[in-house]
Amino acid sequence: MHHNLRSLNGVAVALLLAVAPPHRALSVVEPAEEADLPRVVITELKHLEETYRVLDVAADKVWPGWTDYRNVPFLFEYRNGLKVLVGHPNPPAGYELLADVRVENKSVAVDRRNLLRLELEAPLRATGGIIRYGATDEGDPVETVHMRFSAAGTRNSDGRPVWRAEHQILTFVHELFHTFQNAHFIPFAFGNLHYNPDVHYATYSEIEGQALLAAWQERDQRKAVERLEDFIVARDLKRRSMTAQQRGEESADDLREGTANYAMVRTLEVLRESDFTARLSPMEAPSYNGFRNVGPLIDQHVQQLRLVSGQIDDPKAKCYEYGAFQALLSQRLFPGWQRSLAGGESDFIDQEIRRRLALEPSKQAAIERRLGRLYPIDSIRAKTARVIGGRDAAFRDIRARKGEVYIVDFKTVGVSVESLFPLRDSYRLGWHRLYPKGTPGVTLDDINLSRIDVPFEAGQLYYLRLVGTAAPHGAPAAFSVNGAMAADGSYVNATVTTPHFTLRAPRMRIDAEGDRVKIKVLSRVKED
Amino acid sequence: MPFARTLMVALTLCGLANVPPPAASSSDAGPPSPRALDLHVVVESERTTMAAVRRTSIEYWLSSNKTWLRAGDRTTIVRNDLGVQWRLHRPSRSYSEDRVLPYTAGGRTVPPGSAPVNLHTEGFSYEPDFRWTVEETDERDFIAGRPCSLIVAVGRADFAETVLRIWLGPWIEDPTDPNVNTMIANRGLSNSAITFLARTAAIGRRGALMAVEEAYEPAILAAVNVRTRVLTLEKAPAPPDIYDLPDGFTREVR
Repeated sequence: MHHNLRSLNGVAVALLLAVAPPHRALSVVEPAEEADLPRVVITELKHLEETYRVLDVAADKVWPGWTDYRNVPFLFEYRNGLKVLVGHPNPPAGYELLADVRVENKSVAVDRRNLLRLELEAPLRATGGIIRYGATDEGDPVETVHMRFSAAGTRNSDGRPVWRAEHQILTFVHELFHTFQNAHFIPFAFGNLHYNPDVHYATYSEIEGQALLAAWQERDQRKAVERLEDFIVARDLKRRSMTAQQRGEESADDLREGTANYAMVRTLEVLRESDFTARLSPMEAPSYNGFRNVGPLIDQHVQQLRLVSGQIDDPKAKCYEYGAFQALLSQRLFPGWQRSLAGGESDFIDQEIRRRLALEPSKQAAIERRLGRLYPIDSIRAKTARVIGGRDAAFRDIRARKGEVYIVDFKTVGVSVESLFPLRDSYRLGWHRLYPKGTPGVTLDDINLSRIDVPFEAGQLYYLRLVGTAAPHGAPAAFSVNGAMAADGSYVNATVTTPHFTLRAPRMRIDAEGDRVKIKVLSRVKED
Repeated sequence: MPFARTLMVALTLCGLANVPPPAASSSDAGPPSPRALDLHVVVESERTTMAAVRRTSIEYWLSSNKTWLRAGDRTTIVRNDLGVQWRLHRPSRSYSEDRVLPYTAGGRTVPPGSAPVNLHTEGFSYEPDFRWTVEETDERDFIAGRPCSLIVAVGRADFAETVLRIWLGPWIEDPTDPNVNTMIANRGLSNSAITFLARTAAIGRRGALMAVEEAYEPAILAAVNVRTRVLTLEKAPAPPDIYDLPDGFTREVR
């Protein structure tokens, strides 16, 4: 469900939005003082209000019948521990309703029980997902859009933030479309794609992306259809090493994430052709330009398609744009494609495209031959082989290491290990990432992790796992702690030193047993 | 681990044989034909995650080679004697039929790490290989009228943690599947916990799981707290034909 914001931000540098005031500013009673909410939090509530107004214009043209976008609660979670719940029918224990703050007519409740002394500074950006959070009075779980905000950070050369209000509003659109899917057209039980590529898969996966890009850029409709044929045949070739389950997972991911990204781009297309009137003032939403220049925002998705086409070791990351452009091209070439999906004629977008193209075996064979002329298969395969070979060697080397085990657990503080380090010279393998050359040191809030010079892996997203080979096999893991121990056995403002790295954190717990040490980071900010 | 104290307690506890069956009713038509007494169990379960609490009640009837289980709208009938399992959905009066798989402790047959590496799927699924620390306690309680003792087990793995509070009652001597001792109160627990409990409870016929609380911190997903407790445990005549497929249900075609 998570939108791939890392890479979206990477291409957002190209965004050049004209600076102009919104058409009309609302006269708003600023509730920040009364509610004691940080201004950036109020801004995000304003972005959500604007999202509904955007969808009032666009939703039915994104997908016929999409009208229920106001019915889903939002949970905003911030780095300082603040939780804000919008429109929940029954806020869980710990939340207090804010009498003076509403989003349209929806209630707003906050949970401040775990607040940290951490300033929230604009701009923020959020990644999201759909969760079941809390329960109705009848005990049924409540489907909720969960957004986690973090610092957007990067700014353009002119000093303006890359991450703008428009991006946040479109991200809300993305997540809201997931809830529409769940209620209307996502078929049965296929989970996320669980597949690590081999050279053959990765080669034809890149050709798929190049074919989609060529189809999108092709103005001649007949030639665009030919490029879609290329996409379908490349997909068939690619999938020869996949099981039926994995093929279903991949198509389901394209449908789930692809149509949610399609909803973002399609919203932009509709806004471009509409007389949409922005309703937020610069005071309310400083980075907002009222969708006055949507071209660069659409171009970001095209650039992202180009970028992910060439990514090799993480096929799941491709579903956002591969699925989106299958849907956008279907919107352009195959009127009624949505009815086929909603009506059950096709379960997936690629299945619908295949049905529309109706390729005979002889034509399929001819297209297969054509791929070799139109796409640089040999050079792609050579590049791919180098990466896959590097990944496999890293896997063998890291798993072959025997010795003391050090684990650093970042789950409590919500930090995925791969977000700490550069992706260069690392490899994705399932929910793990391999770092055969180690990593540079990193500081995150009040956590500091030194440079690591030995191979290690990030396991199951949140856990750094390193096998040292300095001590004799079976010997206890060596480490020392410098810091105060609290009554609950955790260490406060302590530094752990091992032969391979040093970690400083505001609070952590250490479990040592024989040749294994597990360090659980419990806080990222110094406490009072 | 030293289990002696718990074992001593368990050995002195009365078994189900001491639970009196209900009195047989008399009739003018003569003495009723004797009916075997089955095991009747009602379990309450509560699962909390993401600020949501879900409560369920599960009712079992257990006989030799046959099990009947109802939870919400669903009923499951397992007929080991026929090698089938029926899953009934009462609102739609439909059912599915599957080949029955023998119950194994925890349902897992392949220990972690023993499967050959498949790089296409490596790194996605994760089953914690817990190192367990077990602590006896002096806490005692009566659950479903049976004296129980508490042990606490802490499981630590590379990417997951769990804490179990386990109430063990007297071993159930019964013609039903002996796994009844380990399965009736394991509803909703993590797979690793179920495996551990099956092993812990069954060793030396140590005791029956009467209640379990698990605080589970999985690798990626949100923390889960599960409480499960036996409310009723008795020998009684099962309702007639309860282990048979009821009339009027249509088989689902999948």
